[in-house]
Amino acid sequence: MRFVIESDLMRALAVAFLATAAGYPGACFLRTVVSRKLRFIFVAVLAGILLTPLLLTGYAYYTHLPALTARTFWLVSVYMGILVLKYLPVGTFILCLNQYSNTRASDFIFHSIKPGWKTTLTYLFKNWRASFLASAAVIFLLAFNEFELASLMTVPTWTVTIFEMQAGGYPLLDSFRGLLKPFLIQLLPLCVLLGIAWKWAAGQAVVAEESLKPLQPWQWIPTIVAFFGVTFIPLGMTTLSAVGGFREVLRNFALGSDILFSVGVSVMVSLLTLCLLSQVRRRNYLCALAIPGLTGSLFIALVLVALFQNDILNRMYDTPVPLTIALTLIFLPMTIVCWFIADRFGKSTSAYLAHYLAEQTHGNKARALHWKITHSPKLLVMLIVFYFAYLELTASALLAPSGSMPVTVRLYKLMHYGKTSGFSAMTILSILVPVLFTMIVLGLEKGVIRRAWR
Amino acid sequence: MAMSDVLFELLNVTQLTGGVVRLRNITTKIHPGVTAVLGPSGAGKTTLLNLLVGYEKPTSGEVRQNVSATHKLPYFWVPFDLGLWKQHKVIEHLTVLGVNEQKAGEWLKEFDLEEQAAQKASTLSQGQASRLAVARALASEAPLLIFDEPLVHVGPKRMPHYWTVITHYLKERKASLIFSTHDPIIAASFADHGLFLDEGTVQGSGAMDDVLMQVEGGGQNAP
Repeated sequence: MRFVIESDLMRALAVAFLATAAGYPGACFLRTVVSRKLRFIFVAVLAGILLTPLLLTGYAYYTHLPALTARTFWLVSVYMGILVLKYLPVGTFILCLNQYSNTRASDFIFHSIKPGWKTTLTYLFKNWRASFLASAAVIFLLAFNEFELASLMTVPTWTVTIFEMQAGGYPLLDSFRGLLKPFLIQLLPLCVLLGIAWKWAAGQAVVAEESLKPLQPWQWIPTIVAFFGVTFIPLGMTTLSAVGGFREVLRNFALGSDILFSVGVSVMVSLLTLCLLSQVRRRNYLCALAIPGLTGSLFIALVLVALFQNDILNRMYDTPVPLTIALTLIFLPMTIVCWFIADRFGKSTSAYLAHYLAEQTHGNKARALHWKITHSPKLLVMLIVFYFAYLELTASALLAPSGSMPVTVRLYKLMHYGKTSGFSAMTILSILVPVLFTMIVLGLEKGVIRRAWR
Repeated sequence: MAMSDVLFELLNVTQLTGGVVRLRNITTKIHPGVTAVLGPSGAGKTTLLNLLVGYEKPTSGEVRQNVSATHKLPYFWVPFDLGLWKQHKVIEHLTVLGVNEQKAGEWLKEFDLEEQAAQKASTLSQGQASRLAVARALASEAPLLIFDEPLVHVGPKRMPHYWTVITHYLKERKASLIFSTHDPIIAASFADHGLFLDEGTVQGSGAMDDVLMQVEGGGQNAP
C-alpha cells in the first residue's frame, strides 16, 4: 500500500502541474480573444473534452492499443498523458478566472519594456501565482482520486486497491484504514483551495486586466491535442467499431432498465442539488457543503456505505437514497462554481430590468425574457449535474441498490471482456442518452420561450 | 399624473460596496421635474441612482419613494452599463414593453436606429447602444425616468436633437427625469434642480442655478 500511495502522489502531482501548464496558453487565449465566435468555439472544444467520459477514452485506448500498454512504463505514461489532456480544460478555466492575481500595472509595463526570460518568469509568477496553485490543487485532487481509467488500464492505484477490497467483501474497517493516508494527503490541496476561496469571499482578490492581443494560433495547440486525444479519436474509434453492432443492440436492447435507473437517479440528484442551492443562501454554508465532494467519490461512497449500514439508516440502505446523496455531494463543488457564475447573470442590470418588466407588466414576452436571462443558465447547470451524475462510476458501483444496476456499472463490467461491435454500440448509445435528454429539455425550453415571443 | 411634492427622500443613507464607502450618511430630497446629479468620477452618482431604482439596497438609512403607482411602469431606468439584452434584436427591446412594431419603429427613427432595428444589441456601437437604452426608456411611457450618464457615447452633432426628444417627452407626459452627468453645461441646460455629490456626500442641492453657484468650481470637474 505504501509504495502505491507514494507513486500515486508523485503521479498526481506531475499531472496537476503538467495539466495546469498545458492549460495556460488556452487561458491566455480566452482572456485576450476579441472575437465572440472564436471564444465560443474554444469554450465548446474545452467543454467537449470535459464532458467526454473517461470510461469511453479508457475503453478506446485500452482495447484498441494493447501493444502500447503491454509494458508498465508505457502503460503509466499513457495513463498520465490521458489524465493531463483530460484535465487541461480545468486548468484553462481556473487560470482564465485568474481572480487571485497579484499583478500590478507596473509589472505588466516592466515586462513589456524589458522582455527576457527572467522578467517573463517574474511576471508570470506574480500574475498567475494563486490561480496556478488553485488549478494545480483542483487537478491534483481529480487525478489523485481517479478510478475508472486506472481500473480499465490496470494501473495500480490506491483507488483501484480500495475499490477492489470493498467489492471483494473485505471488512469496511479495512477499507477505511486504507483511506486514511490518501485522506491526509488530500488535506494540503484542500487547505490551499479553502485559503484561496476565503480570500475570494473576503473580496481581497484582484482581477488582472490585460490588454487585448490579436489571435495567436499556437495558443490553441494544447487544447486541440487534448480534444483529439480525449474526445475525437476515442469517440471515432468506438463509433467505427460500433457500426455493425447498432442494429443488433437496438433489436435486443438489454440496457433499457439500467438506463432508466441511471436517468431516474440523475434527475433526483439534479433536483436535490437545486433544492440545496436555492435554499442555502449563505455562500460560506454552501462552500462548507462542498468540502466532502473535494475528497473524491470513493471516500464519500465508503462513508455513506458505513452510515447507511448503521441501524438507524439501515432501512434506506437498499434504496437509491444513498446513491442520490453521494452523487449530489460528489458534484457539489463543481456545481457551486457553475451556479455562482450562472447567478451573476441574474444580478446584472439587464436581468434587473427584465425582472422589473415581468413583475410590472405580467407580459409573456417580459416573463420569457426574464426566464432566459436569469433562469436559463441555472437550468444548464442542472443539466450538467444530470450528465455527470449519469456517467459517474465509483459511487454508483458501491451504492446502487441490489437488483438495480446503473448503466455505467454495467458498461464497466462488460468492458473487461474486451471489444465487440455490439458492445461498442451499447457504449455509444448509453452515452447518447444524457446528450439526448439535455437536447430535449433545452429544445422544450426554447420552444416555450419562442411561443411567448409571438 | 398624481405625484406628491417629493419623489424620493433619502434619510441618513450610507452605502458600502466591497468595503468601499460610496455614499456617506446622505439626507436629501428629490422633487418632481428634471434633476441633475452632478459630481466628479467616484462621487457616488451611480450608487445614488442604483439606490433610487432599488438595484442596490442601502447599507444603513432609508430611501423613501413617492413614485406614482397608477402607471404600468412607474419608472424606467438607463443603468450605468445600459442594461441591454444583448442577444435580442434592437426592436425587441421596445416591443417587449408592449409597444407595437409601428410605434417602436418611430422611437427608433427618433434616435437614428431604424437601420439597426433587426440587428442584435450585441452588434451595436457604444453610441448606438446608449441611444437604444434611452429610446427604450422613452418607449416605456413611464412618468419617471432615471438615466445614468445618458447619451454619454453619442457624438456632439446629434446630441441636441436627442435632448430635444427627451425634453419633448417630459413636457408631453408631465414626466420627471433624474439624470447623472459630469457636464455642468448639460445640467444647466436641461435641469430644474441639482444635486452635487463629492466623495459620497452632498455638497449642494436645490435649484440648478443655485447649485452651480453654491459649489465653488463645480464646472471645473467636468471632463
